[in-house]
Amino acid sequence: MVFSSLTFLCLFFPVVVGLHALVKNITVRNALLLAASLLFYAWGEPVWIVAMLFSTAVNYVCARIIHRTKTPARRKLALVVGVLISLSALLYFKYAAFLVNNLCDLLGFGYRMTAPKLPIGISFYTFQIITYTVDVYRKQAPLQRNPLWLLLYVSLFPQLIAGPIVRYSDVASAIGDRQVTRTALGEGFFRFSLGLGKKVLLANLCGEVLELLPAAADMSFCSGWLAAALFLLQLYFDFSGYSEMAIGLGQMLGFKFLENFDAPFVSKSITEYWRRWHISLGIFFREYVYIPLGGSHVSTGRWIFNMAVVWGLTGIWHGADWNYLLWGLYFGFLMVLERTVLKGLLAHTPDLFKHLFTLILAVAGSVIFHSSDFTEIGCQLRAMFVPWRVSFSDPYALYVVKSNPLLLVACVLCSLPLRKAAVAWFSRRKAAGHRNALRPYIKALLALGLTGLSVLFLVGQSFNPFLYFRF
Amino acid sequence: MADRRKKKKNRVLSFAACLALVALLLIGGYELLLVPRGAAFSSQENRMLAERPVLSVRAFFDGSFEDGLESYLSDRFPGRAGIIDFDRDIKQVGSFATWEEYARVAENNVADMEYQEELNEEQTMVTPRPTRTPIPEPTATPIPSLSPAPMPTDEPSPLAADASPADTPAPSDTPEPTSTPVPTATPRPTKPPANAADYPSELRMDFLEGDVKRRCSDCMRYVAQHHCALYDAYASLLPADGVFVVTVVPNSYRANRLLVLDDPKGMVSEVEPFIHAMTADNVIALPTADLLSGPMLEGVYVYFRTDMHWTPYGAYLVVSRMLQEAGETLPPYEAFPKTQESPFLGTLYRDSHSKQMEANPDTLDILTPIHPVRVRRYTRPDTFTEVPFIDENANPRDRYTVYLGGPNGNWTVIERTDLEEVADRKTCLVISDSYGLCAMPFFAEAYDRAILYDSRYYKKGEMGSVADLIESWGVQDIYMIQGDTHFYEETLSKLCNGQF
Repeated sequence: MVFSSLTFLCLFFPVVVGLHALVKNITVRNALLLAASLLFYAWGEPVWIVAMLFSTAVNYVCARIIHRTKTPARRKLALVVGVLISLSALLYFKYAAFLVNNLCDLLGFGYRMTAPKLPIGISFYTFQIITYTVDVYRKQAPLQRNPLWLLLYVSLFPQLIAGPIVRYSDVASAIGDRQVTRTALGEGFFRFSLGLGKKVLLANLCGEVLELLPAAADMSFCSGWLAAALFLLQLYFDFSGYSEMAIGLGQMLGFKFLENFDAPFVSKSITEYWRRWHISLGIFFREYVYIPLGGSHVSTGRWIFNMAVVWGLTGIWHGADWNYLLWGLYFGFLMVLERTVLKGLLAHTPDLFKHLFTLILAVAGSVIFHSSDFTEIGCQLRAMFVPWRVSFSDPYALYVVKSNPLLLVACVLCSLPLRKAAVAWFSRRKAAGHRNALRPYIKALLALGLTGLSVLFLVGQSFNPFLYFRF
Repeated sequence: MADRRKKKKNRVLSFAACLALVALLLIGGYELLLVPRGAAFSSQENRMLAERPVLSVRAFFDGSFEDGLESYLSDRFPGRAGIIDFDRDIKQVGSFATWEEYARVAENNVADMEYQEELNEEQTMVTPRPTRTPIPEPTATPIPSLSPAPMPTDEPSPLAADASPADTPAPSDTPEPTSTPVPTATPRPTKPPANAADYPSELRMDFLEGDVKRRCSDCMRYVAQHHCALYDAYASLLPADGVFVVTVVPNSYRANRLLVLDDPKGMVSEVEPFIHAMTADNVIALPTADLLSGPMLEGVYVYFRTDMHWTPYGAYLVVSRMLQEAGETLPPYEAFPKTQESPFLGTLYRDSHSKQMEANPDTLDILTPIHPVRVRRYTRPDTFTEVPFIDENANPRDRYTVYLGGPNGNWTVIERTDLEEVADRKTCLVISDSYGLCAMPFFAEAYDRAILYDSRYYKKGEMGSVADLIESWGVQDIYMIQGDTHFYEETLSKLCNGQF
């Protein structure tokens, strides 16, 4: 099930949130939430729940062994077993076909492996369960003795499918006891509606508009940039919208999840951009890969190696294809440049140019992420960066701009940290003695309006005239 | 004081949250509990709306229940029709793109039209395109004045076991009717042998702009070969002098783009010449693209702006040319009884709500055959219902369907009622999608009996094999008219193949 579906919005969401708020006993609450989360996950693909249960069970046992055993070697062995079994499931479902087929191509074998169907959210829940086992090993998180509550952490439906990646230590106390306050319910609903609006009103529409633009081989300079920018915006609103919905839902259920996006397009460097984009993934790789590898407190050569590993993994985590690997390495390479060769130059560059430079590099990166066909990537990058080899504009680009001016303006505005600015503005007013009496009404109207409009758009988007059979 | 303000703030937001939750639950509950679970038809979308899925273990595990529920909730959402209109309208807010720009990008075809090929280099067809006779100018053919015969209401089908023309009493007070003279059978010229491999693998329909060809659409050669096999099969059923005439109609969406080219010269199609060359001698393929582009550029109203279809006059120009191949001639367009419906906003408008379309509505000519006819829609070979030729009650959102009430039914038979005594009616079969609807007045005029067969609505289980029906009805000529999309996707042909 996904948040932006009518089944979720009209049935699952009100029933689960309503019941959860009404029930006061924490055990009943957890049981309700676990049942709801398993139903949420099983919706559409019930079979793959087995993979999640298996991974949770293995890590539950391993964490108990780690907790009980005093011998370092046995603790480490239990950790390795837990992590490897979790990763091997991810490896099989997500990367086996990619690895086998590329190996066969390299060795000249004719064998092709068909990729198994990918269990939804496996990348997220695998990382979550790994953080639990590792944190128990590091004694940074308490042991969860009740396997059902561990399963609740892994399967918690707000962040199950698309993150943010929540560390066990962040929610351990809430699983043990949590309150659903009126404030949390209201604020959570507000965040949820903002996320829903981003997903349905912006990301989906960006996707529709993107379809109008020509194929990479036929792109002009303008349509090349427009397509890349629209895709990046679609990706941003889709993912950050989903994260925001997860954070809002978590709040409504008494959990507090970390922010996952923080207006990445206002960044002045690629390093900052990645500190603001998919924050929970960045934290995971920093805490569980980069620092264990030695981080930056090593020789330059080793540091570059560490960066290559981390960013290669970041890329390939997004999908089993070469373009994702290249995309990750592209950003890793840019960060290495920023911290070495360009460090001095960037220190003296005006902020405006740094913003522009970062935006251009981020938009160019989206081209690599968008297509797994390297010819297409090459064609689009050529249209963007070698304008004299292509025409300046084309009817598609002109039409997209002229027919969707409001969408484009809304996308630009919503990619800015407007919420932060509004909060700061209200705080300044409050400090100056104003009452901000309208603020709750504005928020309530915005939340209701965005939810209502999103539901209408979801119904409208399913408009499916049987055009070809009508004529 | 501060605490009270904070509480008020909390109350407002949490009230909004509760309100939203209750409203959403009410909608979901209403749909699940109060909306009738059975089938429903949406005239707006022209499809059956989703039915409420039945929950079973199997349906849950294979995901069909979940998909079905989502479709059901969406299809049966309260006020769905209005929401769809609202959705479309709101997406156009702020748009300042013109209709011409919209037409240029429609169907993602502009960029792949942007190749530069010299016209001369393109003339590499192995088989020269057959020389065409020009479209006949409307002539002042005198209209035969025949009184309409009384229309019997219970005449059995000629396919019914006990049906025979002798069973029907001849009306005594009507002039002696005469059947349309059957042209003398002349042997058709043998086509030169052709090899499909000599043709390009993609057969294109092109706009001509100056010296440049711009792609309108294309069809894979192997797809066209599938069509050829089907046409040959149909043509083999015909008597020696019968012809199978086929054409592919570019939809108005595509054809109207000809008018926005900078230096328009016309349209050419490689599809029909290929079909013509690759099929039997009695299969004739005429390119509508070529036939209509000239009149179109001269400002003749052959395509609607707000509807997918050609206008009845566009249909007249092409059908008259098709009929010539069978030795038939049509009276001038003006001779057909006609009413007009204006403003007419067709399905393109209905699906886009374009302001430009709204400002440039169409006019729909509603024609009937000159001679009196009756229309019977057959549900089984011996069961029919009589329907009007012009259905005034047609869907108000799709008025093009005034012709015969739109495309439906197994087998629609249009017969002249002034020829009741004629046993051996000259009969044609028109295989068509909705493009054929406004062409039927002309076929019904040229033949004593015209049968419309739309394979999308034909049920072989009820009617039996089409080949048998062709033989039973004594079909002498077959015409096939299909929109380009249906042609490229083999929509009609694949179905025809199974129903043959």
